Amino acid sequence: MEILEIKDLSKYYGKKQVLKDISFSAHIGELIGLYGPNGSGKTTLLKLIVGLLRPSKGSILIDEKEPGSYTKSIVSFLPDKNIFPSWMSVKDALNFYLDFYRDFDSDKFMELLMFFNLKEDYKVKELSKGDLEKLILSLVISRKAKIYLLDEPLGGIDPSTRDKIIYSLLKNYCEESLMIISTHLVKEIENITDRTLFISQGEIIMDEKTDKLREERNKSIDTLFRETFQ
Amino acid sequence: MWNLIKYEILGKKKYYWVFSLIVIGAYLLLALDYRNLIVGIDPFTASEFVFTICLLIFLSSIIAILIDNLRDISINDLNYLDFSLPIRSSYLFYKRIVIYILELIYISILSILLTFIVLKGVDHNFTHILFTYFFGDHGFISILELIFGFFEIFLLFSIFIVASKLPSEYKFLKYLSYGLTSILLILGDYIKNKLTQLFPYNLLHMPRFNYKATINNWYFSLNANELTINIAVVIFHILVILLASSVYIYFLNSKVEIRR
Repeated sequence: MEILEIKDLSKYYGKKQVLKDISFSAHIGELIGLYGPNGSGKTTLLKLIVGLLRPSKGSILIDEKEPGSYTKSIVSFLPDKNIFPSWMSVKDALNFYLDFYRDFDSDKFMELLMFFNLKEDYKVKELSKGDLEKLILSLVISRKAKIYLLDEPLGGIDPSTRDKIIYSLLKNYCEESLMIISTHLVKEIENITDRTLFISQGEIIMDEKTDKLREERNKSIDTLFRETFQ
Repeated sequence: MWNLIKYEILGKKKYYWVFSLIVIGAYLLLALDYRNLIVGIDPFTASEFVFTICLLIFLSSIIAILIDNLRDISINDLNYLDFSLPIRSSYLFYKRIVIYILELIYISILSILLTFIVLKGVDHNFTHILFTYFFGDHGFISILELIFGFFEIFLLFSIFIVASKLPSEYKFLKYLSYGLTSILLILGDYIKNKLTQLFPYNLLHMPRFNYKATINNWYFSLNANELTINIAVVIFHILVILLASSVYIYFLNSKVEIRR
């Protein structure tokens, strides 16, 4: 089932064109790795899908609707920075999600808190960068959303926890949803993705099934990434 | 909507306490130390002097609330967390308006109450005059006019903040909003004077409030300027508020984007 359709999408920041006529569609059940160097337009693309940015040209359809309040109710977005005000505690953040997102599963969130060894009474401002990322990731994936957009989800997390997240959490998420992960950690993610998107200077330069790409090129996605963007 | 208000109040809980304590502290300081302030002042006008200081504290509080809410639009309403919620973006506007009005009402009640308490300590009889003023038509309408004026200024300034979040494609719209808002802020009084001259129909005219009383051989007075409420000026204010609100809502729902 097609859940996301992007057609001729362009985005300008002033005179600078950040995205150039991007077109692709994605389906429920897919886990897409979105890779590209800094400034290639990955975050801009995700923010356009969420509805934080507005297209300069082209269209985005999520479940056949343009970004708006409905699409925000089915898209769960993990930004690459802290989104919570400093006054909040972990419990406040939980209550916030419970109050605003009908698809939020508090039991799942509590399990994730235990998994990450976080306590409800911790203040957001007292959390380390890694713990903050774990908190936001827990909130985002505790929603039963149709689309998960994760922007650099593992950057601040230590390698051992990172592997646990990838193989025990993210891998199992795509049966009833679409997940797009934007990251520089290609090596860590490539084994769980179904599809690989390379984006460079605002253009999609590669869009293939991950297994097919690895078989055809006879190399890992990480190696391909390094060769493409060296 | 109510959840938005709930989290706004939860977030500002500490700020409300600190702000209330500062305001109460300022009045308390005035109540305890007014004798030093009125040295050299004619004892008959000492109460009026203290009243003026109370009024200044009240005005400073209203300005602080205005600035804080403008800052909140930029920092809280137009950020990732609030803007990615599954609600119509215009609810962020309604939330801000409700919060701003609640804060204005709260600080007005607190300030008037504290003014009475302070002045009761300075001069018991003067509170009688103040009571007559505040609970008469003149005082009540003056306060309403002041709050209404600040509400309008808040809306106009908030257009600057919301328009600054328009994408680069809407540069013309952005500068048009800046221009129109600036004209209304700078030339507002001139436009109102012109309207009054062109349409000299008053909804309300209250003569200069000049209260004099002699109590126990002491002479007291409280003066306030005459108050005229012109129909055309009222319509102008309503139109400005409606226009600013519509532009704000339109920008939020269809144009604003959150880059950072």
